[in-house]
Amino acid sequence: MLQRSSRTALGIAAALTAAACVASLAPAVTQASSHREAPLVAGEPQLDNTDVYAFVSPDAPNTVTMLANWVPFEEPNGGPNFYPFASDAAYDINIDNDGDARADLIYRWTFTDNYRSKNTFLYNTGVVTTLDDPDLNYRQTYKLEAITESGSTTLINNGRVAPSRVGNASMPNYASLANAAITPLPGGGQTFAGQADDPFFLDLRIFDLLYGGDFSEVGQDTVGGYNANTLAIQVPKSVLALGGDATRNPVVGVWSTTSRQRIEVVDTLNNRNRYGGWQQVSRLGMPLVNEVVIPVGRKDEFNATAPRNDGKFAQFVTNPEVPRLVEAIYKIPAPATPRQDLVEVFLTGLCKACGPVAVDLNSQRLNRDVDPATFVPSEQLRLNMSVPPSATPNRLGVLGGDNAGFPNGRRLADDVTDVTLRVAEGVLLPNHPAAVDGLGDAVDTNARAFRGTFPYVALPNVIAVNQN
Amino acid sequence: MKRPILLAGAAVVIASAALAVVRWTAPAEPRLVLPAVEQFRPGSCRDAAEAVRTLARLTHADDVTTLTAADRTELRRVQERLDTLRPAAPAEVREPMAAVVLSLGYLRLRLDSRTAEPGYLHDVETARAALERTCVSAG
Repeated sequence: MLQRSSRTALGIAAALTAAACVASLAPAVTQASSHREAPLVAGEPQLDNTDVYAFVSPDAPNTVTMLANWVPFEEPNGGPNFYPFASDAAYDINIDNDGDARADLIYRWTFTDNYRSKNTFLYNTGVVTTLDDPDLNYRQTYKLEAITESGSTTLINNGRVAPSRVGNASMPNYASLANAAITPLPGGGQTFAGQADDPFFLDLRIFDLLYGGDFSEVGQDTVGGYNANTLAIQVPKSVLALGGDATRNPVVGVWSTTSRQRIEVVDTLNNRNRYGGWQQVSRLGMPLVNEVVIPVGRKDEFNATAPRNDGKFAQFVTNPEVPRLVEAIYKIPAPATPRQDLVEVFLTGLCKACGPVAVDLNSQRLNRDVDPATFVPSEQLRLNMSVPPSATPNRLGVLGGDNAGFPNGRRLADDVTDVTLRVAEGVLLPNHPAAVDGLGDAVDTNARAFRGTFPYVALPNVIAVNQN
Repeated sequence: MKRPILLAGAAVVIASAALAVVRWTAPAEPRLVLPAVEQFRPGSCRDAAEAVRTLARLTHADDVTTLTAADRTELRRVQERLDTLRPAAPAEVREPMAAVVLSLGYLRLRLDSRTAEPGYLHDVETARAALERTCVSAG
């Protein structure tokens, strides 16, 4: 599963020397979800993965950028505490480059709270112009580790988190604060932690009996105007690839997870003491899986499940609920089950040997050094890093003839809702009805333009959502 | 002050006249001729007559962009009515009735997704007309 030697040549593998093995350090990881998708995590927004993105960096095509978001529906003016990362959780981005459904490389962020004064209610006591500004009362710092089978290496200590965007009076040049939080990585690459506009765009009224009893109420970007907390990392492709060779082994699987300590004791002063080791409580790889594929009775379990155990959820992929709902509402027969096309998209990646979607695109089985016998189907966001960035990206990604987009990884502007709905209705199957090619929620772009350079997400919104 | 008012008045008169000429010379929209309910064969066809006739009114304009939210509601009602009748219909009626139900599903899906194209309305009308012929000729 782990062949890290050539990574050392890049100086990144050096970051990956240490003590414990991946299995012991990473208490199982898996994926899938979105905003408030499962009963337990809906009450714990700091732990709630909302989305994961992975794409070949358009302005640095020798690198891959991975982004993961947490804390859904951040109203911009949510003071006085605004939106920190949890200081008692582990935020991970996991990479599986050999297809065994276990992380071969984990990037882990852990956070520390720092107050200049606890004798004020203010997040900042004056105008903030730098991350070290004495007027920035509350600051978060982080440690970033790279974890492999051979151990853990600290890449960054005391990294600085871009603060929540309090407002124009407090932070008149927020862009400079956000840019200052971009931190170079040893051996190449860069990382960012901080608030951003939530890049997801969709009409969440799908949960109102499919947009109001049918699809008639679509077109509202429900997430527009809200912020999220972003962790972003950009590294050379070779750092992610099996054996450090992105030419022979260009496909990787990516998912994010959140883990917390297993035991919490609340004392009489309301101090929370947590211990007992990490336990995964949220995961996200392919978008919308835990939202609309996994039934409510299994969502919390899914969030705690490692990808290598995803077989127990396979029935929900092969016999999905959404096409049955569409059939009930529109009398359009659901595609025949079991849906092996969905297994390919969500659990194996696309390859000719993987299933009925006869294209070689983004399964780890395409890596030359992968033994197909060790391949384990699991839900991940899979990216073939050999596909160069598109000069003219199509929001529908692969369905739109643009193989640099979803489900080959996921770019910020990819319309994963429309793609997922169409795929669920069988758009990848031969002889599917042409009508399903036009299925969608009529929200085609993000409300805010993305930035052209790392970390690409738009700056946080500052206007109250109810004023938009 | 009077001159601009006169000019504006003249412009309105000319525009109205031009519109009248265009309307007079444009081909008239074909009149919708529907078989009476009594012409539908008793049984499932007769039960479906109202739905078939309603659907004809919706497809008659032959312009998918003019269908309103109320029209979409009506399309759904018609589809559900035909879908309810279909299982008990005679075999020769069941198939064209199913075709209407399916074509309505595709049209409704595209209308609701804001991606409707003229072909989907045409397909509904084609299927509807076939059902009407079946029901009326069998009557």
